[in-house]
Amino acid sequence: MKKFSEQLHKKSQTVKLRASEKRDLKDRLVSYMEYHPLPANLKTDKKLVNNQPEKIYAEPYKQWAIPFQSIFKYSSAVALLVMVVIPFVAEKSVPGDVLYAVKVQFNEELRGTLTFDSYEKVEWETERLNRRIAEARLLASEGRLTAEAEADVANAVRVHSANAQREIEELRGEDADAATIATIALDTTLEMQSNSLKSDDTEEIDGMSMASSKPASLIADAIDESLIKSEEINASTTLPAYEKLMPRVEQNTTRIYELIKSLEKIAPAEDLANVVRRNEDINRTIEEAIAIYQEDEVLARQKLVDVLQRTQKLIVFINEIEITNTIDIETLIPLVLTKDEMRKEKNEALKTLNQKISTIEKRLTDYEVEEENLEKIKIGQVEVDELLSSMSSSSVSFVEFRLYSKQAQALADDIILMLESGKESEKTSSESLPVNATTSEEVLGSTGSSTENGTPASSPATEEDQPPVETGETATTS
Amino acid sequence: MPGKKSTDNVSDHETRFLKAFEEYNDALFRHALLRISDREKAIDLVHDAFTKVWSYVRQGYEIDSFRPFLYKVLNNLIIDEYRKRKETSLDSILEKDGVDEGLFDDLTESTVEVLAATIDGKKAFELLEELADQYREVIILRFVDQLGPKEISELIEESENTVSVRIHRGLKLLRQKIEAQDQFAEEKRKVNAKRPNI
Repeated sequence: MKKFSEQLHKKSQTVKLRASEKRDLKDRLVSYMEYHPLPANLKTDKKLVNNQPEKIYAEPYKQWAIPFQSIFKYSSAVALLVMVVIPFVAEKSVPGDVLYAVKVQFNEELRGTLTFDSYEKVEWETERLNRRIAEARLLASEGRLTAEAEADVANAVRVHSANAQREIEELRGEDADAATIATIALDTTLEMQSNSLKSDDTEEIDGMSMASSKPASLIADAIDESLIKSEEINASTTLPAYEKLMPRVEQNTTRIYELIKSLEKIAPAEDLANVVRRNEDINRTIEEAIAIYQEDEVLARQKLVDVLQRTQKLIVFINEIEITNTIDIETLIPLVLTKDEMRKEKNEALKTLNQKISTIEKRLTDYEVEEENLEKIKIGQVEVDELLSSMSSSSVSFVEFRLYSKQAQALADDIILMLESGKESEKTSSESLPVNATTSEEVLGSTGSSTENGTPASSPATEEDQPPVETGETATTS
Repeated sequence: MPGKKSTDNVSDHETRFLKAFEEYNDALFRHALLRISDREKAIDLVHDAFTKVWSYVRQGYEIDSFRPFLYKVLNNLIIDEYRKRKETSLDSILEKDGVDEGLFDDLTESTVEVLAATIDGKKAFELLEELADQYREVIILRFVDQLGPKEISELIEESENTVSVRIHRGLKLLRQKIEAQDQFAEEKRKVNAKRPNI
């Protein structure tokens, strides 16, 4: 074998290209290489650009790869966008926005469909009603509230309140108490919105923006309309049971607590303080209701109904804080004072009143007052003393006390003013009596009108004329 | 000359390619010539093989070892050339005298060696032309180009076993031809020897 292959190989080695042939062949090859040079990308350091042979497509059978993978990948993203992101963004939309329809027709309807409980449905309709009005208010504040949008909102208010009424009727069949509670909630909300819209109106008129005030009244009308309807329907309702009221109240207070928590960062300190204060009041009333439950159930129930209304109002108010500051919390939910505060206020009032009385007495001894006036002042003093005595009696309620206090204060002020004005006029122009007379009358007239309920003291004061005219002493006392 | 620009990247592929040309042009030419017995055609085929390889290089293929690749390309070109020449296709020829070659159980390297030992290399070389191409191909690859059986099987896309069988049978045929030639020469010599006697 070795011999054979060696021999064969040796023999084959004789077969060779001749030098000329080899030269020619090389020249041909080099010129071929020059005509077909390497592409630019191969002239760099990159050793390998593509490992795989180029795909060759036959013309009639062009291939298209259906990108299933990316379809699935992106479809999930699209689904996420449609199901989550758009509804989420839509929540912030107002009438006229592109996504508003999504908010009203999709988000809210879906949520409405997902609530099965009649009570919750009423609540949700109330919430939607609130939302519509809040949107209208937001638009108005931006000056974008057109008559059309206004009419839409008014219409929506009617629809939602009608829905709520219907649900309440349905609920009445199952649970009368729950229906009553729902009615309270709805009515309170309607009342609240109506009030605030009306106050908006007046403010807007003051602020010279007549255009938006008119449509706002359109909404207010719609609310009033449904409010009247609701009252007609629920005229003959009784107080709901204590056991039914309590959980509702608790639910509302929890809601308020949560809202306050979330408000802490956003709302201005003043608003927050107001809200917190109202919340404390509510809690106190609840405690009172619990305390008296054993003794007087009806009163406890009444208290709870009152609390329920207040919580409802407070919830609406908190929700509105972010949107508008036009509603005054004091008019909506008056402050309820604690016993300590009441005592404090009483003491203060008595103190100032006593001070005033002593001032009057001092003035009377200091100045020489004309007889007529003196008489008048005496009558006033008696009146004030009477009021003071009735104020300090323990049987009087706080509300009555306030009323008396207000009257007494005003009366005392009038007397002091009368004395002062006499002195003043003496000082400035000692000879011009008519001038003095007119001024004192004016003063008395104006102060008399400020004490609206027409206190007994003010009426004789207006009938009298000449103020005290004493020259020398007035100058010294001042 | 591209070969002189050895410093930059441009010539990296070119120098390697030209080096391969210097190294293998003779061997490839020899192979081609032995296979098709046409000097001009053989040179053309070698040239075509190199240009084909060059175009592969241009497309960005990395060629680790030029030799098997060049042989492969050349072999394909030779087969194409055969097809041009013969009306009947090579495949049909292969089918005709195709034997179930796997059945030869005595086909080991040793028997090939034993067989080869009995053949005169020089004479065999002369007679290569007369062999059918399927035998000539493997014998040239094996003994002239000195490729291993594995390389050959990869090159011609047949199993190693088939390659061995073909080598074996090729050698047998060569020996027969040599013997026949020897016999013919013997007879001729006898005739020539007799003539003066007559």
